[in-house]
Amino acid sequence: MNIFQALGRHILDLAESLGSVTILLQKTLKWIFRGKPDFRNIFAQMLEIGVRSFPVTSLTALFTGMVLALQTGYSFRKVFNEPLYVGTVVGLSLVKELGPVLTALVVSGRVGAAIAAELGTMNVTEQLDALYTLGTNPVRYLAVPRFMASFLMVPLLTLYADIIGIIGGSFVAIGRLGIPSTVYWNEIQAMQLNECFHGLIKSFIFAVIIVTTACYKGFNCSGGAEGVGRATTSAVVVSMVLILVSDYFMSALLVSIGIG
Amino acid sequence: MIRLQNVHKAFGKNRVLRGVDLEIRDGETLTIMGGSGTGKSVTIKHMVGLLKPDAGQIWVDGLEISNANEARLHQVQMKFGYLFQGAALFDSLTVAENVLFGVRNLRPELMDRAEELVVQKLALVGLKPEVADMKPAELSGGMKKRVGLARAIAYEPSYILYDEPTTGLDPIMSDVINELILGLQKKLGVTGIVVTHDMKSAYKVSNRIAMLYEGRIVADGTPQEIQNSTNPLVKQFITGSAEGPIQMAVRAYE
Repeated sequence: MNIFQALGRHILDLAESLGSVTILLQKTLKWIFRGKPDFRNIFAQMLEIGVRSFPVTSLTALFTGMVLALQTGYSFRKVFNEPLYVGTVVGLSLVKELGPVLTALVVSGRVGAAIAAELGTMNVTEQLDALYTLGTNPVRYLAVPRFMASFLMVPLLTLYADIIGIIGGSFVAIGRLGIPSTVYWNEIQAMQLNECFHGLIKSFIFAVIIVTTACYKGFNCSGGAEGVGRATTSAVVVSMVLILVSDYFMSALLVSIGIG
Repeated sequence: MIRLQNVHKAFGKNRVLRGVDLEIRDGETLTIMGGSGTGKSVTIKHMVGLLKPDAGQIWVDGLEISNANEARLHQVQMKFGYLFQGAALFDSLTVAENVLFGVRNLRPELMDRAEELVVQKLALVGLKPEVADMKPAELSGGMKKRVGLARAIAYEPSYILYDEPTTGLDPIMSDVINELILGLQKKLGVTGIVVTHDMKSAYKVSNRIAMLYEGRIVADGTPQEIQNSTNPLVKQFITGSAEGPIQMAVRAYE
């Protein structure tokens, strides 16, 4: 096989996967709009995806806010001789970037992996085929509740992460850098709603990326335990890369249309 | 009646079915035998619409399903019960919930007497009502198969597909399952399609046996006829000999 064949095969594989993911997404959306929502299942998934991700998201956000305040404070102290704009930098960085992106990364590691492993195991043990023969569409029964739960919970977690990060930043800014608390909180309050939307809009897209990638990898895995392992790893890796890459393009787009 | 006409199916470069012609008559139990990887399971998955053929037609009670839409396939699904090789029970649900899963979707009118239905179907496969509240993880391999069977017959289908019903079970449990298959045919009058390479089981449960080799049906007859067949492929398979026209791929150890 020469280099062109290898390259061609990779491109074809990629195109095929992209096509299949799009079809899965389209089917999921079709069932969301056509089918009756299965509230019991959706709530169970919201608990798993949202509530159970809360501790790890909080911890990540808290320390991110703290380290942001610390680094900004000491860097600005070197340049300006005093820690200026700590509230502004912490607030904007969290709300526009770190809140949504870090939450999405944490959720993709925790929830994306779990979804891919669960659906993958169901796939290799023929439980997906069994669902079908028992009159249930696997996309409707498995993908739809996970999709809806992620779509609701990831932005909510992002909002939490923003708040907890800002609180974490305040501990360092006020307690360690000696910034008056009114200054810090005034800077936070000076942020515009637009800037919050910028991050929130992105988090909706991240939710779609995480859950669609994980469901796709789970539904399409083969080869027993090893296949499930591969599907899980690749669900996490692919969604993390997609989150980071799409983050840039979405930010550029949102800024250009005046959101954030 | 189920009829497969010139069914072809390939997975990538692997051409699994290369023109399968097969007819399953109402009330009979047909066994499809053949070596591992010859496409036995693939064949029965086509009958319920789990797989769509690349070419050819599949008729179920006069309905052509290879190009059917979801609503039409739903009609066909109701007629089939499927016993999976590993039972494929849903781990997160109890035995009773598993048994009722298909009923809820396919025959909701039966849900009025759900509890009674669970007890009755479990009894049909020889399980006590106490099993109903257990999770699949607490069951043995043979019990799982029986629950899988109870789940498959719960909504009273007219066809039951058995994918290697005795694989992985000890000889006695295998025979228990064989008896169940025979019993269901007698008690419920269902049509059975069994996929197996367990010849003892095939002789016991079937009215007719078809042999699948290289993606086609190469022989078809009563168990008696198959046992006395002069076809070298059949002879080699039923005697289980490594010598003969069927050359299995030998793994590259030597």
